[in-house]
Formats: sequence, structure tokens, C-alpha cells
Amino acid sequence: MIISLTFFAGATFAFALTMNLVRKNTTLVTMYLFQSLVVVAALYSIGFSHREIGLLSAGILTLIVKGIIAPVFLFQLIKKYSAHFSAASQLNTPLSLLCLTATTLFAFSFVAPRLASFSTLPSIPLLFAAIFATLFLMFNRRGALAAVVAILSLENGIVLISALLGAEHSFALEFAIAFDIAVWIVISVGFLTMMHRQFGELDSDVRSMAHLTEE
Amino acid sequence: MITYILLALPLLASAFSAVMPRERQSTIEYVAVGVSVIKLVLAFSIAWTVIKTGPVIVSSVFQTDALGAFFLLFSTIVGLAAAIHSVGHLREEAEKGIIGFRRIREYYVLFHLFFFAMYLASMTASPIVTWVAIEATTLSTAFLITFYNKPEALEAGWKLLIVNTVGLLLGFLGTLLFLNAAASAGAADTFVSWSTLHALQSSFDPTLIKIAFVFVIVGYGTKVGFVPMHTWLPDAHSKAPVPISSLLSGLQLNIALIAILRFRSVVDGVVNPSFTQHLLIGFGIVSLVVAALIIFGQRNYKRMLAYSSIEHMGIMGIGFGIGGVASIAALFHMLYHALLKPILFFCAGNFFLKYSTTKIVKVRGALTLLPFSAFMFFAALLAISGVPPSGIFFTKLSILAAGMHDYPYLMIFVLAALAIVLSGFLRAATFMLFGEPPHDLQKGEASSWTIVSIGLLAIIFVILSVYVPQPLTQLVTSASTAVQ
Repeated sequence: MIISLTFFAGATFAFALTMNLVRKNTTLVTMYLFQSLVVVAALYSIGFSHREIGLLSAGILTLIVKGIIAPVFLFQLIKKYSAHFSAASQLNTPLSLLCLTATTLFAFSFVAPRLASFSTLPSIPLLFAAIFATLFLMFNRRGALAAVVAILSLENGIVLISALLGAEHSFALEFAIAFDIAVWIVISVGFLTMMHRQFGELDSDVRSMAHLTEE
Repeated sequence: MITYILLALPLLASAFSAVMPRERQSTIEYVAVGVSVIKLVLAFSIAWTVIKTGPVIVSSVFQTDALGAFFLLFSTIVGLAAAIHSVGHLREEAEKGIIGFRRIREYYVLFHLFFFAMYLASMTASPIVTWVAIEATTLSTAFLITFYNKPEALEAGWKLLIVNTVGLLLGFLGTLLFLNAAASAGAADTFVSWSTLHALQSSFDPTLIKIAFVFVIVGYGTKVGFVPMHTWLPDAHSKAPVPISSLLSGLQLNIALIAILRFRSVVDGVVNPSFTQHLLIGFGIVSLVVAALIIFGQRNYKRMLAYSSIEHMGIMGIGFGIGGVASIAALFHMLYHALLKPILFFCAGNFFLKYSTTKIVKVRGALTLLPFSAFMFFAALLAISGVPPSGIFFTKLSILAAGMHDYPYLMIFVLAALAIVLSGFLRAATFMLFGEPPHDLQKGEASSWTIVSIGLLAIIFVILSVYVPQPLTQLVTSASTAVQ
């Protein structure tokens, strides 16, 4: 079981890492889709082995919200506005890789020892590294679409950490969380559409905040 | 039963507003005001029950303790004032052709949803439901920030959505770590409440709880507007319609702070309380000083008020960090700030309707053109700065006096920052209120709705500054035990 959990955590981390390196928006969303499917598989794996109905229901909801709704919305948006290529990054690829190495080292050398008394699973620092990688994606990539994918990916990492550490929720709570995320996806897609209308491009560099100035 | 009615009312009002046709605009407005009055009565009823018999427990999920009842009380008062002000403000904007009926309808739908989320957060016993509700406040306000459909408003809304979501996801991770600690400590049920966390706290792993609280304070602190996670706040508060700015400032920041305080009371039972104390005081003092410096050089009066919210969240952070009497003072500070900030935003809205600008240098002679709004703006600025006999004077004094014992040097910083804020406010107010007004503008307030809302809050604030009823003192004292 521990090997398989490490595999799931490793795959989640690998997809988070890849998201930082790809340039096409379609590939970015595809990487996110694969990561979500890994999370669903992990939830089922833990749920079956511990016979936890809560995790199985979380798996179904994750599959619906992140495996179907989010990618469908994002792919449609990319297709509708022909936004196949992503906006530029703040740092070039070698520097990005250097930063990602640093955040991964931080996860293993700082976070892991502090959680050692609670869990010695190697998957925990791997998932923290995935979280740091998605946070880095958010800061490094200029495009608005990348920010949406990064947030959804961050949520993937958090859900998996929670499941690995043994949090149990009722179906009602899982449903509330999934509903919240689904609403967030709809709203963020709404914002991306408004951005296209306002700025003429979907993946605009909205975070330069050209119109927001300290008056 | 009252709890469920209070939760159902805004949902029903939101659905009702969504289906109303153009010719029924006034019905939407009257429903908003009417529902706000009913909510106020219900909140008083819940608060009274809490004072007399203790927490109102209707199910494992829905429980209102003293802290929740205290928040409900002032959120419904501010809600009523905001509903009244919205009528006058939106009618005036519609008359000027700035917005149309569809925008107004959208506004009221989201306005009611925002209150549903607020009440849910204050009346639940579950940390996870609290998180869901606070996240829902972000979602309900995101489109209200973009209300005017301008590029800068869209950017402000986007910033709010992204920064707050990242913050709240970190808060979610912190919350889950608390729940994991409870599961490891042998929580019998899958439903973990604040009481469960308190009951099991002696078995929690201190290191894990410290990490969890850091995530909580950074995550929810983003929503509170603590520096350096505050970047979304000045933009969102200055671009939103003024009734929404007043709700964001007076209510939304407080509910996130309350969530931090609930976690804090658990953490203090696991690790040395100086851990949370230093974090709260640290974030508080940085927020206060940064906000004070920016307020002093501010050229936009709505942004000035937004930074003032950061300043006051800093003061509350310091008060709650110090604890004891300062915690009670910080709770009263929360109440006074929640009453005063909407007055300031409403007056700012009246200035905007008259001058069509938010730049301080372009607003001249407001005392001549808008005597009521200008006078109330000036009085509220003085009151919120802590000029006696404002209630804020007593809360600041109590926090400073309590802090002098353990942190005398920090309190000198606090005093200096407060002096900078006051001088910044006076500088802006004297510029805006006096001088020769533009000749092309007519004297007179926008409407009686925009005067009544300000008057209502001002009367309540003045009464509570000079006389605090015994039941309120009892409620605040009980609430303070939940945050220490």
C-alpha cells in the first residue's frame, strides 16, 4: 500500500512539475486532467483498502468536478477563443527548474522532518513539493488560464494530503466542498470569458494589473 | 427553527430577486429592506437566547455560541443599513445611466447570497463548513467587484478571486491538518466540531498543530487583509459599489478573523500561547504600520478607507494577540469598526455620486454641496481615528494599556502609527470638505435613502459609545472566552 501511495504522490508531483514546463494551454489542461485522475485513483485505492465510504464518495465527486467539469469547461474555452498557446513566464526554463528544485528540497528538508512524528510516509513531502510547484506555477506564469489551472492543481495536492493523513468527512461535507469548487470553476471560467471580452484575449497578462494603479 | 429561518431568508430573497421582471425593481428593493429587518429581529432573538441560556444548538452542524451571536447581531444591523443605502445609491446610478436593471437585479441576487454565506459561517459548529461559507463569500462578491464592468474593476475582481482562493486553500490545508490531528487523537465521529477539537486538544501533536495554525493564519489572514497578504483588498474595496465595500470591510474581514480566533483557542491548549500571541501581534503591527504609511500619502478616498480597514484589522490582531482585557476591547473594536466603516463608505458613495470621481484633489467644498454627508464623513473619520468620546477611543486605549505591560516598545510604534493615520485623515478631510466647490454642481444629497442609512448607523454608534447595555457586555464577555 505504501508503495502505491508513493506512486500516486509521485505522479501528482510529476504532473505539477510538467505543468511548469509545458507551453501549450491544451497540454497544461491535459496535465491537470491526468493529475486529477491520479487523485481519483488514489482516493479509491485508500478508500477500498481502509473501507471508507467517505473517501469513495470523495473520489466520485472529484471525478465529476475535476475529471469532467473543469477540463470540459477549460478545453471549450481554449477552443472557443483559439487560445492554444500560453502566455510567457516570468523566469526562463533553466531558472524555473532551479526554483522548482529549491522548493522540492525545501519540502523534503524542512517540511518532512517536522511532520515526521505524525507521518513518515515519503508521499507527504512529495505532495508538499507538488503544492509548492503549483504555487510556483501561479507566480511564474503570466497568463490567467495558468492561474486557474494552478489553483485547481493546488486543491488536488491538498485533497490527497488530507486523504493520506487520514481525514474522514461525511458525504454531506464532501459534497459541500465539491460544490464549492465546482462553483469556483464556473466563476473563474466566467471571469476568463469577461477578460476575453474586455482585453481581446483569453490568456491575457491580467496580473500585470495595468489598470489598477495606486492613485 | 430561528436558525434555519435566518439561513433560508437570504436564499429565498436571492431566488425571488432573480426571477423579478424589470417593472418590479422597487419590489426587489423593498424585499431587500424588509428581509433585512426580519433578519435583524431574528438575530436579536438568537443573541437574547444565547445570553439567557447559552449556545443555541439546533443540530450537530448548526450551533450559535456567544461569538457567533455577537457577529450575527452587528452583521444584521450593517446589513439593514446596506440594504437601505443600496436602494438610493443604485437608483441614482441607474438614473445617471451608469447601470441598468439587469445589473441591479444581479446585485440583489448576490447581495442576499453574501449574507447567506456570512450567517452560515457564524452559525456553524464545523470548521469545514466555516471554510466552505467563507469561500462562498469570495465567490458571491467576485462579480460584485466587477459590477461596473470596467477593465480596472475586472482586474480587481480577478485579483480578489485568485489571491483569496489561494489563501483560503492554504487555510483549508490548515483546517484539514487540525481534522487529521483530531482523527489521530481518536475522534469518534466523522463530524469534527470546534468542541471536538477542544475536547481532544490534549492529545494533539504540538508540531503538527503549529504547522496547521501557520497555514490557518496565512490562509484566513489573506481574507482578513493582514499585510503582506492584503494586496487584493484595496483594489476590491475601492472598485466595488459602496454598499458592498461597506459589507466587505465591516463584515467579511471580521468573519475570517473570527475563524482564526477559533483555531487559536484550540492551539493555545496544545502549545505555549506565546506562539499564537506573537503571530497575531506580528501580523497586527505590520498591517497597522504599513496601512498608516499608505493612508498618509493616499490620493483616492475609497482606497484610503480600504487601507483604514487593514489598519483596524491590525489593531484587532494586536488586541486579540495580547489577550485578556485587550481581547474584550478588540471585540468591542470589531463592533465599532463594523458600524463606522459603512458610514464612511456610504458618505464616500455620496461624494462619488456628486463629484463623479474618487480622487481627493478633485473633491472640493463638500461641506457646501453635501452638508450632511460631509459632516458625517468628518465625524466618522474622527471617531474611527479614536478621538474621544468615540467608543474606538476606549477600545484603543484599553488595547494600548494592556500592551504597555508586556510590549512597551511595540506600543510606541502603535501610537506613532495611529498618529500618522489621524494626520492623513485630517489632511484628506480638510481638502475635501472645505474650499470652493465646482460651479457646475448643484447642492443637495442624492436621496433620503442614502441619508437614512448613514443616520441609522450613526445613532447606533453614538448610543453604544456612551452606553453599553448590560446584555451586550455579557455577550461580549462570553464571546471573549471563545477566543482565548
